[in-house]
Amino acid sequence: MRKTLSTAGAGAGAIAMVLALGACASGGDAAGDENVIVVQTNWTSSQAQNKPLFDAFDAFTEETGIEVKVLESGDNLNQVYETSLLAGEEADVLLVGLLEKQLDWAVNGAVVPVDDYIEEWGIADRIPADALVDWTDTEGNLRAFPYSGFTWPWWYNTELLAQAGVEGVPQTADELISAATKLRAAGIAPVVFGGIDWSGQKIFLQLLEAYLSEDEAKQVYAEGGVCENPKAMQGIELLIELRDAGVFVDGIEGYTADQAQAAYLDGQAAIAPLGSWAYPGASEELAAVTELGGLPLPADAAYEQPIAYRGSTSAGWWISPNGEQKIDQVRQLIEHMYGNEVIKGILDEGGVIPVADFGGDTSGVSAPLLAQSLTEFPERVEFPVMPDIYVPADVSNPMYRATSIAFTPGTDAQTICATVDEIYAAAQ
Amino acid sequence: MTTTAAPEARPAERRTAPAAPPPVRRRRRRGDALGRTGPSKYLAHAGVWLYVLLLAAPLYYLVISAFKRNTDIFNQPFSPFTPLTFDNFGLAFSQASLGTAMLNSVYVTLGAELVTLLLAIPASYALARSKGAVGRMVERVFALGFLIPGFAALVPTVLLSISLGLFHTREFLILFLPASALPLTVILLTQAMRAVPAELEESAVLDGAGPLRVLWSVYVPLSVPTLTVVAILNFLSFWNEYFFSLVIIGPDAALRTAQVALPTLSIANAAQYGVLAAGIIITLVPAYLVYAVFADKMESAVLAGALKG
Repeated sequence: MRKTLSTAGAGAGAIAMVLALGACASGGDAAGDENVIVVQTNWTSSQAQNKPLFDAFDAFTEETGIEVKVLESGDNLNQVYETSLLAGEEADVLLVGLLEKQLDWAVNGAVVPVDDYIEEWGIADRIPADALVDWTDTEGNLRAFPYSGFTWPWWYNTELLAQAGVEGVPQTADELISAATKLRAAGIAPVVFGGIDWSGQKIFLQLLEAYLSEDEAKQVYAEGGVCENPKAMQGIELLIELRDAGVFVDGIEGYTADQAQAAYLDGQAAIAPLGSWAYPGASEELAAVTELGGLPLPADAAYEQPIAYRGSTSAGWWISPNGEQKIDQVRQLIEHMYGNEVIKGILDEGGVIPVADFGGDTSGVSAPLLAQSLTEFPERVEFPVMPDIYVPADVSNPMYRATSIAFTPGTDAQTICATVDEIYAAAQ
Repeated sequence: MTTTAAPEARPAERRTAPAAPPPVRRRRRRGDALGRTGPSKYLAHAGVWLYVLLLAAPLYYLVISAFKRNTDIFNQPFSPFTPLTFDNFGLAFSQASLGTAMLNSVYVTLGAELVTLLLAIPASYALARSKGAVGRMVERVFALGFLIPGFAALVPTVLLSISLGLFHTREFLILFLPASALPLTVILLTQAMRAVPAELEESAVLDGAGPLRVLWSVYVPLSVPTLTVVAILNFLSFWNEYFFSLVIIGPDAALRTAQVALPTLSIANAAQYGVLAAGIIITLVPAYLVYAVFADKMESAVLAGALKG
């Protein structure tokens, strides 16, 4: 009997707790409230560099009285958004990059094309033409308002290079091979990147397009056909030459982007291609001895200088069908976020590179690597086609495997190109 | 000398020969004993310790990572001799709003647990008492529930939540999660209730007890060990549920569960593995406490089942 009573007591306690917790939080229908704008983003408040963004939201609410409710999502943002769209409960506005599923959002009606709005709201004039091209889909829809971009330089630790007897940052493929040989002789790891993931995939494609013109690169990215393209095959031969000469660290085919970044930031490797998102992670000492450059190429390549990626697709403001229902409030938010003060705050404090013209005043940028990437770095390199917006979404992830195979010692050019072409064929 | 010595030796050998088998048998027994206490024992111990290490290594890695910076996690993953910090715990708790998220997890988990037990106990009682073909068929239908993979139910589940007007609510999860837990819960409880002696029920009926009174006063108290087992298993399953919570409840910080909140601590370009590990440890605490409190009952239930077998 006592046991029955204690069981009943436990059950009653659990019921009481459930009822109390159920009353605790209520989401409310913010999406339908005209005085609330729901923003879904992967710029999470857990990242220190995103603080200026959240400050800007607070300032917007103070100015206009319109509340900004932020839905923070991780890497699963597109899946969560598409499901909520099905229910008609999607966020009004999204701040997210242009890649994978997002490439087809405007075509599929998941978001509203912003061609007219960007003109009406006077933002088009401040966006570089090539950024507008990047954000325009195959049907001519401007998918979103381009907001932030990135640079993806090759980082050279000049102190480690000097320790190994390397004079200056390599400017040609031969100099890179020579530098790697000296670094290895000095017991220092040469070039490191994530050979098994997205970061290595970009370096693989960077090498692939070393001999391609911009248009040829776009075609290869979109359709494949690597084995049949002699210039693309030259790029693969270059990869093999560098790989077999020991330019990449041992076991590169198994490295992740995080491991590679840690190896460079900790001074274990002398060279690493790392995106601008890694700038805040570099210590002052490391930043002081790091020179940002590009991938050195042979003399007969399509580019005269080393190459590095940059892009305008890190993040854009997307408007959902729900957002279009309260377009006046959305306009106020977008105009606020493109204000010079907000953009400079995001650049200076957050280290985020804006796409929009903000007058070119970089005097407030205190982070040395960010400053270098805005001033000296563009002079040192050429910028080839950034593959993200041309490589089909179905091909992008499977290509990580091809990347790992390509960087595995002993793999020949024919195997590498066939692996890539098979991925394109499977996606069709 | 040699001729006499040899014959003397042979009888001696013969004398010892008949006595030889027992020592050999003894040696064999000793050999068996050595199997338990000799080299095989050490091998078995080594195997057990290796297994323990294999289980403990990821736990150790998780715990030690929670006190490290990102760079140290990658460069010296298992070393405790790196600068250690408690900051990751505070950052995890504040940045992912883990307080609210854990309350939401408690709400969904307890709610789903109650619904599961409220449905499973009467169902198991009926199945345990049933003697006919219909009862057997219904029990098999419950068993068929094991064959439905969770992902296969995703699209219809989302559509159902939308049509019920319960999309982006925690209450839908409270109603849905029991569906995935019922097969195992009902089957285990049914077996436990079948073990209740019929005489006890007959006595209760003679005393005027109706079916509900019999269930509450006879079957439930005698099934408490099994109830504890299924409650713990369900708790762990509901507490750790991620995908349906992500898609149906969504990312709203006021509603999301702890498992949905955690990944926001680490995204592709800006992974904070130390903070993420700290967050995981924080969310493990309730699950561990539940297990620690009810572990005795769970073990005794399992043991009782073994003895009955």
